[in-house]
Amino acid sequence: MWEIVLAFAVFGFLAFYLGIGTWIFVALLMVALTSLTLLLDFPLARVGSIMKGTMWRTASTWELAAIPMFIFMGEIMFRTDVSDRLFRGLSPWTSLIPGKLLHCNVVGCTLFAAVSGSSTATTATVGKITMAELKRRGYDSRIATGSLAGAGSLGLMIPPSISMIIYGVLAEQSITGLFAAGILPGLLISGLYSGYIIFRAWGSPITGEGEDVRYSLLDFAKSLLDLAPILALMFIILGGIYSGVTTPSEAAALGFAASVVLVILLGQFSWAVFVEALTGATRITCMVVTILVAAGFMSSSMAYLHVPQEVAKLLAAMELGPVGIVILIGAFYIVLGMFLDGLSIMVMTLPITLPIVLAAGWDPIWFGIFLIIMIELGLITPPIGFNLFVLQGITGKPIGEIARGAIPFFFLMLLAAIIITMFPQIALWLPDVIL
Amino acid sequence: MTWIHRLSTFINHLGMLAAVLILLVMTGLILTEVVLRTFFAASTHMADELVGYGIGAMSFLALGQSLEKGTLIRMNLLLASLDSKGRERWFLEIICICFGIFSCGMAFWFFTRNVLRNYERGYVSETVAQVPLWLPESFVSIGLGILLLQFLSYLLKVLMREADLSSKKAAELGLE
Repeated sequence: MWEIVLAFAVFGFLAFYLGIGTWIFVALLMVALTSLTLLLDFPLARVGSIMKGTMWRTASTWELAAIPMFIFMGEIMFRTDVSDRLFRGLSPWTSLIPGKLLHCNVVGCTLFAAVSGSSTATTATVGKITMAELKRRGYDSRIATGSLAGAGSLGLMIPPSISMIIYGVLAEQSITGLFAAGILPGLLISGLYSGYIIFRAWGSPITGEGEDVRYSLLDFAKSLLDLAPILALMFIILGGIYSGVTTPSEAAALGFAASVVLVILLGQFSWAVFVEALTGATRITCMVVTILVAAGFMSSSMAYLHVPQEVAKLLAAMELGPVGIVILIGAFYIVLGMFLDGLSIMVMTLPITLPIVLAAGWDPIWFGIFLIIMIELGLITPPIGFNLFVLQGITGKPIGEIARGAIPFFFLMLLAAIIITMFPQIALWLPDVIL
Repeated sequence: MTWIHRLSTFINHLGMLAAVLILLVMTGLILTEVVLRTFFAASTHMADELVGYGIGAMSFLALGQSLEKGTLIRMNLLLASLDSKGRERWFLEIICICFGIFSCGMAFWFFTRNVLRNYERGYVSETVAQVPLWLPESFVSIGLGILLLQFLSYLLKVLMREADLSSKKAAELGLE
């Protein structure tokens, strides 16, 4: 009983430090320091030794090196005309489907996600051009913003993905395996989104001026040239990983170099763009790694307090069964996603949820994909939803209006989570074939 | 007091410059490894180890500027609901900074102590590269030192009522 009280005390500290608005990495460090000194009465020297050891071990994990490189690719692409090219390249093809240019959001995000590791870069890059164009052509603004909010989150699911690298490091799973596992669920979500847009376009007109645009064969040929830079980068990164020639970190370094060469070839290279992309990527990496490092320390302190075991015992007593456990954990993540960013959720909860899910008989690679869908849901749920903020920055619309537009896409993503829970092979088939 | 703000901004820049250089060296090292393995069936035998040190070093060296530019995220539901010029918001910000100084100060103390101990005893890594252990960890100490200076500078700004606490949600989430 005392252990349960201690476990809840840790969650109390966490809620307090996060709630008062301390920087997240500081909050995690403080939870660990408070737990070890106040609850376990550890001497300060011992606490410091645990702190130093866990922080350095996490910070110097070489697999994390892929993070700044994949972020850099998104950052440098964001500062070029790649978003215009994506839109021009996709327009002729999407004009063939009901819903027309709205599909540029979904397909554009799916393609850009394959060359960028972050969802905010994906949403911002694709949204930079599509939002203005869709508005100019009179498309329904709610479905336009909603589809971008939902599709932008694919940056986490379609490899390369920063979230998958972090999950791989924390759960000690193959990052290549996770990258393979994300493809089919990513395409499933993007297919559901496009299907919904087609359904809506058939039900009632949502397209504007785009209806009248006719594309010639030459336009279709030119569109392939516009898409060539993104497709070339995709080939270099994903081709290298899946053919087994490169590891994810090596693919990231190759992608880093290739994106610089590409920007030079497109005639858009400048030192200002290069330095901005480098410093932007470095700052985001710093934010990610420091949260990860602080979470490593907090996770150690929770292990000393036997928190994961106590929570597992509590759940075992409820006799929920494998599906019941996943539903409970899924609901827990959706609630957390309303208030916290995905990275913090993942690093704070994984030491507790992963052993429970594994004990229930689920595959760790499958759980990685399930967790990422849950985090994607958090990106579009108010009051704290990163993609909603990015879209607010682009469109200037209130958060509430953007969030309302994203509701159908929230439920479609939830449907995808249910489908991959019922059919785990959707996530596990490709890793089985590749590895 | 402006000298301390200027000093911390300048040191933050130096930290960021070092972090960016480390990122470029890491990328170069990984690419060298790929080229050596693919075309010459050879290896540096130390790329993984050095890249691991590099990612830790660059992340900590960039901490000062990341805090200054608002990239380090925080949960702002309570902060955003308070009047940015009010006493409660001001007081809460000071508490948050004090927690930052306390926790990062402790990490700085223990890392620095370990760096000095490793230096005095001449410990090296048990790998081909035999890297002196004090070297990579000293970047963490330096990074935490830069962060502490930035926290101190920010604390003084808040205490003197010179800091603007009315930042937008997106900025507080590091999206600008």
